[in-house]
Amino acid sequence: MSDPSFVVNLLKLIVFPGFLFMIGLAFVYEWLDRKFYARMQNRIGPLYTGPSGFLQPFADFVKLLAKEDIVPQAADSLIFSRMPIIALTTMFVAVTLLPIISVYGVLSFSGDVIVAVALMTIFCIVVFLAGISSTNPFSSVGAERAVSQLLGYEIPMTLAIAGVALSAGSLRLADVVQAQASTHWYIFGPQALGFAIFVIAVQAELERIPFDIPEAEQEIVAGWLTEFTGRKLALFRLSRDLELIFVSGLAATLYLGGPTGPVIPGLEAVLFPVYFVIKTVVVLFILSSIRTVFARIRIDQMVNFSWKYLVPLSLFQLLLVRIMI
Amino acid sequence: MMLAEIVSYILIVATIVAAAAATQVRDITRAIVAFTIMNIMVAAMFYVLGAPYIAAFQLLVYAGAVTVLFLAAIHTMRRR
Repeated sequence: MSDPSFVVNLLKLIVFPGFLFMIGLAFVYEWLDRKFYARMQNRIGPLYTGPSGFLQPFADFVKLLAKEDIVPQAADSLIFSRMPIIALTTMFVAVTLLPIISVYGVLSFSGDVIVAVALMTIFCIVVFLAGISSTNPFSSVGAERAVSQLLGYEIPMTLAIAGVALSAGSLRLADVVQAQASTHWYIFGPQALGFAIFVIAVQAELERIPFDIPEAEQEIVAGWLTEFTGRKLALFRLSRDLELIFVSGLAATLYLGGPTGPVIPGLEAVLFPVYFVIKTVVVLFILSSIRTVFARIRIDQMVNFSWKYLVPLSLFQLLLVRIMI
Repeated sequence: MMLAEIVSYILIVATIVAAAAATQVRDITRAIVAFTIMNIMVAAMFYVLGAPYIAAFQLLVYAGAVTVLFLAAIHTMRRR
């Protein structure tokens, strides 16, 4: 218990590439996303809190924490009250898998690529339970849409990741990063198709605009989030932001070489986080542009699109990878 | 060694409790939650026993995909 490596690991988990750093980064990324989205629509976006509205997401979070916390009378309060905490826990576990200060994440073991996908699926189950336990018609419809959508995008995403695992010859994120450092980034080559599929699937996972069907505010108020207020809503918002970091970090790790890059020997621990942030911001801007350019589609169109185009394309991508390596 | 034994005993008890809950709870949503918890515990047990790949696939297929199929199924049938 008292040996120094235990303390270092604990600090890694809680402070630097772990929870505190990720919470800070979550607010920064939400600000970047909102600002970029607003500028693309010729609006200004967050402006008043901090320089250029930098502190706006944090201010929103604190505001929500102070607001009244309502549990609807008809809700299944046992599930309803636990789900925001479980959602946040799931995403905290997920972000510790990302390699940031070295090629290894805070948690790194063989098979962690599969665990990353599984955690995204578990987050969707949490969303469903949160919606269903509110017993509000809007929430129930939103929750059902979230699950129907998952049935559409999960398989192409897993197949796209399978292509990466196939060319790296390993199901471990650290090995994927090392394989890319010794050969080339996987986005150059047949994996570019896989990257495109991954980005589309991830947009659906994040429930952002072309696929924001589960929380379509013009039809079903806020979807599965309708009944959540105060602290619970704040936790869900934070876990959404963490999910944004997680998926852009995963895209950077799988396709853009992770945190590696040209380094001066001895300065890896400083430069790797910088590369990680640069690469994830690039992915974030791609995701935000998609969000700006498209309009929402219907749930049946989404599932149709996934099964008719994305699944065959991802199978083709897998074949292409198998032939070319 | 001692810690691993304690962890595996806790996991065994939690798995049995969750499995019993999955069959005995009246509310179908809660039964599915218990089933998911059981599968996560089984995955953790595989990991403790030194089979990380089986653990990962247990988590992906059973705790993820099968649960989602159950959840997708309960909203297509009539709720009582």
